[in-house]
Amino acid sequence: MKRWIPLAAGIWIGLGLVITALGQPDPEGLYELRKERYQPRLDERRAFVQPGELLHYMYETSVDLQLIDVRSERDFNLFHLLDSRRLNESELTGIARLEEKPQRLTILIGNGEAAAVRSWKQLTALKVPNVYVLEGGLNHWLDLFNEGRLSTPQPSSPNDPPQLDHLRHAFDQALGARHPDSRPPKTLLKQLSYEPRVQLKTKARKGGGCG
Amino acid sequence: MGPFDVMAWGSALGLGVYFLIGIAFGFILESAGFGDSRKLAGQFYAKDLSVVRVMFTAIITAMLLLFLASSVGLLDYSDIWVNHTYVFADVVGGLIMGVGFIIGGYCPGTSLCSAATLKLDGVFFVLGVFVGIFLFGESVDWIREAWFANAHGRLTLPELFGLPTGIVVLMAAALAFAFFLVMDALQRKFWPKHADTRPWFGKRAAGELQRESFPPSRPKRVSMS
Repeated sequence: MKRWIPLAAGIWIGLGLVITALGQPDPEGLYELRKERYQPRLDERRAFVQPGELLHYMYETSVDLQLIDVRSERDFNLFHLLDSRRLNESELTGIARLEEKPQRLTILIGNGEAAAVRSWKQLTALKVPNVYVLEGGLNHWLDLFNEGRLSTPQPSSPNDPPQLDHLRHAFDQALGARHPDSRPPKTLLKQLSYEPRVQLKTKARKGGGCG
Repeated sequence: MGPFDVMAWGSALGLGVYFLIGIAFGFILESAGFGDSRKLAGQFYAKDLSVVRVMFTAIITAMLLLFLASSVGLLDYSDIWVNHTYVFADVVGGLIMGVGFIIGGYCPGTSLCSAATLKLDGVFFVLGVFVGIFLFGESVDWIREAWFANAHGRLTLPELFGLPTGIVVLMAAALAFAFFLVMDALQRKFWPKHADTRPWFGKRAAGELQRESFPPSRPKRVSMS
């Protein structure tokens, strides 16, 4: 059997070279492979969380809420939601590596929806559970909330076209999370109506070792 | 995507496939002699390298096929479960398993193989495994903080080294091959009687191949009458 060793080694190295040449699919490629499974969630708006529902989860202590802001650093410094953290799209794979907490709810926040949807596709392709996009982004959030109160009239749905992704609201100073609308008061929940869309997958993915 | 998710075929059919794979795995383990603790313990002394060769070959072959399938879009690598890395738990658990392996002569899978053939040492090893699992389950809360310390999530070598997956795959295959050469050298040094000294490259190998392929013909019996 020893004479097969050079042949086997050659096959190993050959396969390794093929794998190196072909490369591995990136998250966008993985999403395209499984598009028929994931795209309906976007098309039917089941992957989007309305501002009212997000406000509910901001005060819900039983759920581990993670707010990921995928905007530029400039926009983040002007205004961001309380306890949100900014990540570039390239840093999202780090979340996927650490993710597997079944009770964690991740909301992706953009100025509009375009950047957040791109990030959603990445994280979904990497099997991160319970990932949603803030509907209308912070533009819609700031349309709805006005200095800690609800705007009148209340905008029922985002007005911006989907591809709009720049911050429409102007700020005199960069308040970040110190702005009163970074976490509006809990009392506003009674006045807000929203369609609950979050369905928390609580069962952790498990696997086995080998013996 | 390739049809690798057998449970999607139906739970009965999927479980049936797992059952058949289990039978094949146990059959191969036993036929390779891996139900014998002496053969398993021998690898730690470089005396018998069968286990090392088989396991490393299986690991590298599976790795190559898995990443090849992922490269061509047949398999979604993120569907594959990868144990999360907890440095403290991994080091301590590895130490315990290594000590248990060399003392008992079995790892968990081979102990089941041995117990299936009613070898007493295999049976007692399996019983010990069950007791150990039970004791761990009852006591892990006391060391929970340490147990989940140094968490790095689903960490793989390409991410750790910042290299493309293909390069890491090549390195792993080359390292495994080099490991085989080193283990062979150790075996020839410490256990020359057990070592397979037949060459596998060069002119001598060609001669060996010639003799194996075309053995000398048996002399004809000559009648003395």
